[in-house]
Parts: sequence; structure tokens; C-alpha cells
Amino acid sequence: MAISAVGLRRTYTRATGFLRRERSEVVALDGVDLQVPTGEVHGLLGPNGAGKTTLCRILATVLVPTAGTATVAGHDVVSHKRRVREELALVLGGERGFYDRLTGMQNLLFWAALYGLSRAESDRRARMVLERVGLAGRGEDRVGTYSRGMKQRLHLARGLVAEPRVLLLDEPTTGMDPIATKQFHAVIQELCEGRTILLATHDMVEAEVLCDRVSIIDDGRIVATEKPQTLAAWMSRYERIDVDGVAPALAETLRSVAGVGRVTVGTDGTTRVETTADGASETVLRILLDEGHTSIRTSLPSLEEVYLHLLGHRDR
Amino acid sequence: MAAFLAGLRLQLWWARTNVDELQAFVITPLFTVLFGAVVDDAGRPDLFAGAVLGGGLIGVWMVCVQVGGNIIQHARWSGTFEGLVSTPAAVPLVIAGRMAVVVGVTVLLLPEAWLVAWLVFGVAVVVPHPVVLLVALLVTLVGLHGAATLVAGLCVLGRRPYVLQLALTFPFYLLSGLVVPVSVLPDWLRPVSNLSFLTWGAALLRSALLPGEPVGLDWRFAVLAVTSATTVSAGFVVLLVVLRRASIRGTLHLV
Repeated sequence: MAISAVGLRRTYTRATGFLRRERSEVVALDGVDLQVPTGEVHGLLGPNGAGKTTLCRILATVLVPTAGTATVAGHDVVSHKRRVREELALVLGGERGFYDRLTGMQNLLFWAALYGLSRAESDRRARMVLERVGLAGRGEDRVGTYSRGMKQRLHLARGLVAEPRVLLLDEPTTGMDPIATKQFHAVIQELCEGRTILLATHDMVEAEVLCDRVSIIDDGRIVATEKPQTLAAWMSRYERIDVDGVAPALAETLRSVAGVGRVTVGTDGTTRVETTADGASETVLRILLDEGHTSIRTSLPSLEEVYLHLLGHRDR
Repeated sequence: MAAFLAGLRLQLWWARTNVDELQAFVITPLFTVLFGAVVDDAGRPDLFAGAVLGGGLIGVWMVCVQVGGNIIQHARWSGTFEGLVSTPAAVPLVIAGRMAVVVGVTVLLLPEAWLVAWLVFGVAVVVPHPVVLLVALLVTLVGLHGAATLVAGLCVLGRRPYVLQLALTFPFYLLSGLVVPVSVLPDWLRPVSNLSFLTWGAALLRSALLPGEPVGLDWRFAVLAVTSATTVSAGFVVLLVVLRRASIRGTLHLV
């Protein structure tokens, strides 16, 4: 296994008050079990605060777990940190993580040197990855002048400059517009072939496009590990259909359709039909069209809504 | 060694693009003129070289505490520190490389202070004992490197440690004899002053500027070497301890 976690737990102590300090424990990871075979692109899918970044940080050896064990390329992340660090690169999303007043090239040369590469080799690889992420023409510009999308690509270049066997990508497309995200996905698919990748994201579509398998993490626990196609099935199962001007009798008819979970009417008069089973949305659409409704909108549920279905409506 | 050189090169690039970190080159002339004017007005030309040296060393110490002390803290805020820790490079060596540049650049403050003294007061600082000056300066720079590392490590303990950095400036100028001679400090404070490498370094540098033959060089250099080495050791121990603490607490990065 390229990545393995068994019973991984991480808690933080939160202290409040000044004279009378009261301490409480916050659980970030609660017994995570995860196995990622070599060469797999594995998605870690969950909402903000689910524990994705905490897991990435532990695997990258920058955070110590409270309990449990984890290995990367067979090396323990606590007792053999240096060996782990030689095998992986942590790629964080967002605009931070660079020396903004230095050029993209200088940033990459610094990171390459930290992996023990010679000056000549660092230079060769830095130019190569800049070329491959489409930043060859901007390598001598200060990172502070880069757009968000360019910084994300530079993050990826930084991760690849030392040619690690394992890549940890934590929310690599956060804040990017849809076109830039699509381009970035293409870059990841092209450049990361043959490596083991753990991709932490809250974007279901991203997980579906890039990943061989996906683990859903919620409240610090792995809820399920599935292939992306299964996720797609969940999404289509839990479809939403919005339609205007539905008569009360028709609403009752829709409620009786097998696989329809809820039919609600909003304050603006829009009726929303939420399905919970495969094929139900087609039946609903057919009924609506037969009744002469043409102003119909369909949408997929948010990740949180899928979670609610998946997790059995427990309190979040 | 590769990690040290990586840090060194990074700081050279960084220093070239961050002019605000060179504020000491503006402030040092002010201290130099102030101290020079005081001894000039007092009619004590014998104290002039020491006063000018004090102005230069204040600038040196200021850079070490402010710029050196901020290296890790800035990296935590900018999100680069976690990335650095996640690489195979030994973080203390990378920091040591960066500190070497910070401390090395401060050497230029001393000739700057002498130049200002010559331009403003028309007095050229002469160096009767250049070897003493050179050796004392080198060992003092080692101590300064340790002090800067120590401050950088201590700064990791808080989110905004500016108060700590401020507290480590003026009291140290007095304690190390940069403003007034250590001999005017209260008796109970002198042993504390003697624990600082900067006290011994400044005293030896002053001796190198005085015309008479310096006395007790052997043991004074020995004490400077020991206090400097102790400061370097303390700096690295603190750095390792706070790195481990930050990894456990999850505070390698700040948001």
C-alpha cells in the first residue's frame, strides 16, 4: 500500500477563559482507516471541517496523530518522518504557500534544493515542470503578480519538482473559476500519471473526474469508500426538480410516485420535487410534461444533501 | 550542507526584494549621531570610538531580533513553513542558512556608523588592533546568529510576538553596555550582563579601537566563545523543541 492509515485519531485541546481556564477536546479525526494502493488516485471527499486537511497533514508528517498509525510507502509517519518526506510532496491549495516576492523559478529552485537536488538538476526540473504546467513564460515573474489559477498551477509544479512517488493534493482547485478548474484537471491527469495521489476535495465532480476511488469523510470518520461511478449514481438518485404553477392535485400525484422523497412549495410558488431513487426523476418529468408544464428546472443535490441521505439524517 | 545552502540562497533572494528589512541602515546613523553628539558635547573624545561602535551594534542587534526573529513567524503566516517541514531537509539547517545571511548583512552597519561619524563629526575611527577587532567580530557574529535563532524559536510560541521582540531591544542595549558602560549598572545587574555574549563582544570590540594594549585577551575571548556557543546551542535546542511542540499542537501554520 502506498498510503495506509489504521485507527488514526487526532484531537485538539481548546482552552477558553482567562483566569479559569476551561479545556475541551475537539475531535478532528476519529479512527480513520484508509488503504490506498500504489498508483491509485484516491479522492478524499468531505465538507469543510470533515478532517481532510488534518489527514493530509498527518500523512505529510507535519502533524502528529493522537492515536493510531499511518504509513506512506511503507514508512511510519511518526517514527520514520525523513523517509516519508523523501517519498511524498504536500500540495496545498489557495494563494498561500509561496515566497511572493520571489519569482516562480526561484520558489521552485528553493523547494528542489530542499529535496537534495543539485543546482543543475534543480534548474532542469524546475524549467520542465514550469513548462508542463503552462507557466514557462512567467517563471521569471514574481509570484505576487500571479493570478489565483497560476498560483495553483505553481503549487502543483512545486509538488512535482522533486518527482515524488506520492502526492497529497489538498483542495487544489479552491477558488478557481470553472474554466480554470477544467484546465487544471487536465494538467493533473497528464502530469500525475503513474503516481499515487490522495486528493482532498469537497467537489464531487472533481472527485469523479480525477479519482479511481473515493472515500467520503465526515466528522473525522471515513463513511464509505466507493468508485466515482457510485457517487454519480447517488447524485442522480437524489435529484431535485423545480417547477412553477403546479396545482395541488398534481402535487399530490407527484408525492405518490415511487422514489419521490419530498414535494414542497416555496414562498414564490415554486414546487420542488426531491427524488431518492434511480428512475424517479424520469417518471416525475414525464408526468409534468404530460400535464403541460414546460418551465422545469433540474439540479443535482449539494454534497451536504447527499451526505444527509447517506448518513441517515443524523444531526450535523 | 545542502539545506544550509538552500536557506542561504533563499535569504539572499529575499533580502534583495525586501528593502523594508534594511531599516537598520537608516536607524543606525541616527544612533551614531546621537551617541557621538553626547560624548562630543561632554568633551570626551576618548569615548568617541566606543560611542560610534555602540550605535553600530544597536543596529546589528536590532536586525537580528527583528528580521531574524521574524523568519519563522513570517513563514508560518505565509503558509510556507508547513511545506518546508514536509520536505526531507533539516529545518534547523535551512533556518541557519537564512540567519547566516541576516547576520552577515549586519556587518555592513559598522563601517556605515564609522562613515557617518566621519561625515558628521569629522572624526575618523581608527583601529589600532585590527586582529582583535576581526576575531571579536567573528565570534560575536556567531553569538548573534544563535541569538537570532533563539528569538525566532521563541516567536513560534505566540501568534504575534512583537512585544517579545520589542522587549529584547532596549533592555539588551543597556544590559550589554552598548549605550552606557556596564560599570554604571547596579551591582546586582552586572552578573546578568556578564551572561550575555554581546557584553563581552562589545567590550572586546571597544578594546580593539582603543590605543592602549588590550589586557586579558585570552580569558575574555574564552568567555566570549563560551557565551556565544551557549547562545547558539540554546537557539537550536529551542528551535527543535518549538518545532516538535508546533507539530503536536498543529500550529506550524497560522491562519
